[in-house]
Amino acid sequence: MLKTAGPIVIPITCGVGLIALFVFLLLRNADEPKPVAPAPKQAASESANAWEIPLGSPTEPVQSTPPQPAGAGLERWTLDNLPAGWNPQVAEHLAGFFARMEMTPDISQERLIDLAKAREEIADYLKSLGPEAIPTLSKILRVETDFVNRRFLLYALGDLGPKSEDATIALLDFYTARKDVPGSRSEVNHIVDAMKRLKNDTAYQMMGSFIDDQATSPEDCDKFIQALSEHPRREESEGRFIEKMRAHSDRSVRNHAAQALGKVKSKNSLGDLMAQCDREEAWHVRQTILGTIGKIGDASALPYLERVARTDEDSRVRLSAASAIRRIGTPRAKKILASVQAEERDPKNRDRFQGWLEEM
Amino acid sequence: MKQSFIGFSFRGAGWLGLLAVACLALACKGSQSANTTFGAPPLSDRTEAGVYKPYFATAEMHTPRYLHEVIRLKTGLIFVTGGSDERGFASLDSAEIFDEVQVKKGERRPDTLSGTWIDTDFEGNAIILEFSRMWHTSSILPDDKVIIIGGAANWIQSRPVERVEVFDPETRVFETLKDAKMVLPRIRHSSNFLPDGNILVSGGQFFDVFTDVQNQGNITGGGFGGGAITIQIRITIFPSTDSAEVFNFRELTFTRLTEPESTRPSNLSSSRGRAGHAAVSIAGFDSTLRTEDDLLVLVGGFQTPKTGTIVPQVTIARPPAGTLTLLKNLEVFDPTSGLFIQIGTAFLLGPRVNDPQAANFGVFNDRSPDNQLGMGNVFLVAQGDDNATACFNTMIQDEVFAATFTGFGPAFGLTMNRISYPASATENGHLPGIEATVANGGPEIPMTNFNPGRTMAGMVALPRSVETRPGQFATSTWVYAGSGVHTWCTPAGLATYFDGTVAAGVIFDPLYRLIPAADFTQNPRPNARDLTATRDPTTNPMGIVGTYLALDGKLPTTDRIGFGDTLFPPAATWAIVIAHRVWVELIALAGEDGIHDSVDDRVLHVGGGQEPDGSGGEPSAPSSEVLIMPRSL
Repeated sequence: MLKTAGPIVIPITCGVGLIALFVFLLLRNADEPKPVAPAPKQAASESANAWEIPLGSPTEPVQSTPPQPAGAGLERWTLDNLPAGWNPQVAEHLAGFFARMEMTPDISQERLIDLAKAREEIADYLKSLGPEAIPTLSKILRVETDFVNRRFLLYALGDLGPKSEDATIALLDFYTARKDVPGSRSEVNHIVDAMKRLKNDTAYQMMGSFIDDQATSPEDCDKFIQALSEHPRREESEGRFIEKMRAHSDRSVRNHAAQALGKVKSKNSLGDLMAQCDREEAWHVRQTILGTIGKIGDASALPYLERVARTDEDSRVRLSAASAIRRIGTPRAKKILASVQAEERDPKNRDRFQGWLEEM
Repeated sequence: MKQSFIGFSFRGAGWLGLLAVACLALACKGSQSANTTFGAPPLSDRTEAGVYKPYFATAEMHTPRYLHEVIRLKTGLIFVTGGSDERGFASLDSAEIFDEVQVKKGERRPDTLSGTWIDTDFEGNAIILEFSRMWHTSSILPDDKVIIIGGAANWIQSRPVERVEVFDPETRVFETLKDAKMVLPRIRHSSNFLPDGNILVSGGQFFDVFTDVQNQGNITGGGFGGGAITIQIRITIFPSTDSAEVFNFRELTFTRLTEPESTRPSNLSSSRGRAGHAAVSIAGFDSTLRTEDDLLVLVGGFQTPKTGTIVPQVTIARPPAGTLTLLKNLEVFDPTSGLFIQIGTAFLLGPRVNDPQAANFGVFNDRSPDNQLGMGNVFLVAQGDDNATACFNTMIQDEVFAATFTGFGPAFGLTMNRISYPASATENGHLPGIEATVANGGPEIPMTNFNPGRTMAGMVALPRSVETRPGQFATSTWVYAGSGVHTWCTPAGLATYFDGTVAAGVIFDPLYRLIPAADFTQNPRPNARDLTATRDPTTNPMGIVGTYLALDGKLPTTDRIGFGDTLFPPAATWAIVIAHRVWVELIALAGEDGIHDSVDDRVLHVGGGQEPDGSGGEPSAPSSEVLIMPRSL
């Protein structure tokens, strides 16, 4: 039984999984020397400290440090200097694709077209790889300088998740290395999106741990909640989602936690959803909560929805409450919606409710 | 008859102007903030120590992006669609909304003071477009919904999207219109409102296939008469178009623009059309904006060939030099006659591509502070570059144009003049007058350095208050520009200096040296400028000179620059810094007063990329910021 309030209870299976994950990480680190750690954060801040503002007229150009992408600081890998453990065939293929995908300011139209082809070909190639490629993909991911190339590797590792737990470790490593690098918001989002594809047990444990960890940034917590809500074991995180919906200080986190509960669709969460809807200050989070109540589709929520649809001051919230009544869709729900429609103060809402009634 | 019409419009933002003016005319306060007990949370542009720091990071966008479209909904929420986070190789199908998080006095403060991003609809589902797009336009329809027109899925060889989608701001759900297919699907077009509420879609680039016949040699003998061996090669190309089409919002259909009472197509006057241009509305013969005789000016941009000797453009990425013709001419659409008219009396000093901008100085008041009608006939053209391969040059000279009318003939006898001034030592490529800075929010200090130009940047017109004499105030318009990149070539033209984005925002003040309120308290009091002294009925009917004021603050950007750091020497508060923000969209937000289009407005910087030379590169972080506009000017 999952708690719906207070501290999160992690089921025994999850606990075992977590222990397994950490043991795995420990053993892995013991077996293998730590790969050359990308130190982009340090490199970036050193660069920033050393950098000086160019001042001058347009006829007196001042050569300044060229702009660096967010991946600056990663050492570019080369085919002629492959570290131990790399699969040279995979590396060679990827090097070929990456060379074709290199973007330069003066790139020709012909090269752009080939670049587009290379993007399709590398996607197909990466799909053809099995779990044996994970170590090489992971190594290249950590040293590849181009953010677009890294995205291909991220999603390739994500797609290998159902076949191997090692893919989880690779993405976890990379997330850990990148999450605090300034300017990496977009990339971190893509890392978590890749983790969404893993759909294995270690991924479930890992994402749950990050959500529970108070040190995880609100932005990352938000993304992990969205990713976990797509996991086959998401029902096990019902309590976790409820807790974040109730107690997190960030409204986006609360919003996506409520959204995740709409994917779990458990009647057990109705009480918490209704209580939070009354407490919540952000209008859009209240809408999501009401949407989730509608998706759960249990008629026991009708009295609550009717109250909100009739009495809430915010017409946007009344709209969502009425929609939830529509989703429940029973004859009684239709009767309530008709009554709500008759009393609705907002003419646009009233018209919309009428349209829904005609469809029911 | 006074009627809502094209206000000012950057690419596809025609109804912003419409809404702005409707709000002003009706003294509306925005549907969400119709009562002034609500407003944006207070933000100060100074630290407790008194340091001027006008920029505030908001919550991060759910999907940081560039090459996107931004529009303000009637409710005051900011709506962002599409774009790319991958150099244009793939576009986004997501949309999100910026909620400034309005507060009621006495309520507890929100968890972010400068706003949050919402990516869910009224039932908690993700807000998703059916078609991922970039280089599209978004416009608000008369029923407050938003229509998304054109654009493409990527900028290699993707066909422009022919279907349009309509966003319902109440449910935050998109609907693809079943029967509304564009006559000519396009990208890099402009979308603007017509007096009847329909939308005019002008120019842009379209998808076509060019069949090239190549000679492979000759055959002789063998009993045949001989002849040439040829092969046909089919090449995908993206020519610019001179066509225009109209979206009828009542019938939800597109039709080719035709001349009045005729089936004859009405086309742009520029041969081979125009793409990547700016579009701005100006007042017509009545010198009053948002009336039926308003005109639409198309300026800047480029043409790409369909066939011929010029190499066709075979992708829709940043146009390569040699495949396009850069345009320095202006043309005007006259809704009364339904015709585009070439302007023969004024030209740009140089080409402007890669997001040129234009803004009308009469958006918030048709009259000057000394009550002369005609501010809506004057507009600023700014930003853009010359698109030279490997060495593109930012246009460092911005330009002001003024329209005058005889009242007879096409477009009411329009004559366009580029306002020019005697060269001066302080010009440095910009409009003369005094280049000034606003050190610590004011007072202004003459600049010792030039004001950098920008390309791939944003620009937004905002209302401001000018005290024309003690105790008397007038509303007028000024223009804020922020972000972008300043580049120039070496004298030999061999190298490009990418000096990163321009971190210090600037304000173009067309009424510079009219006495701002704050200056009345200064001792000695600055000299006021008399507009009548610079007025000329033909060349400068309003007496506009203007100048740029640089803000002594900068965008919070990446690790390179700490948020709010003061990096600039006091006497030169502009700076070219590596700030990693290109293709940013700017839009006005209501401030503490909760009233849209008031002098309390703030500016939201939305999105942006880190690499000017890498087609946008990785999206910037933070991905959006709020600027508190100076009030002491």
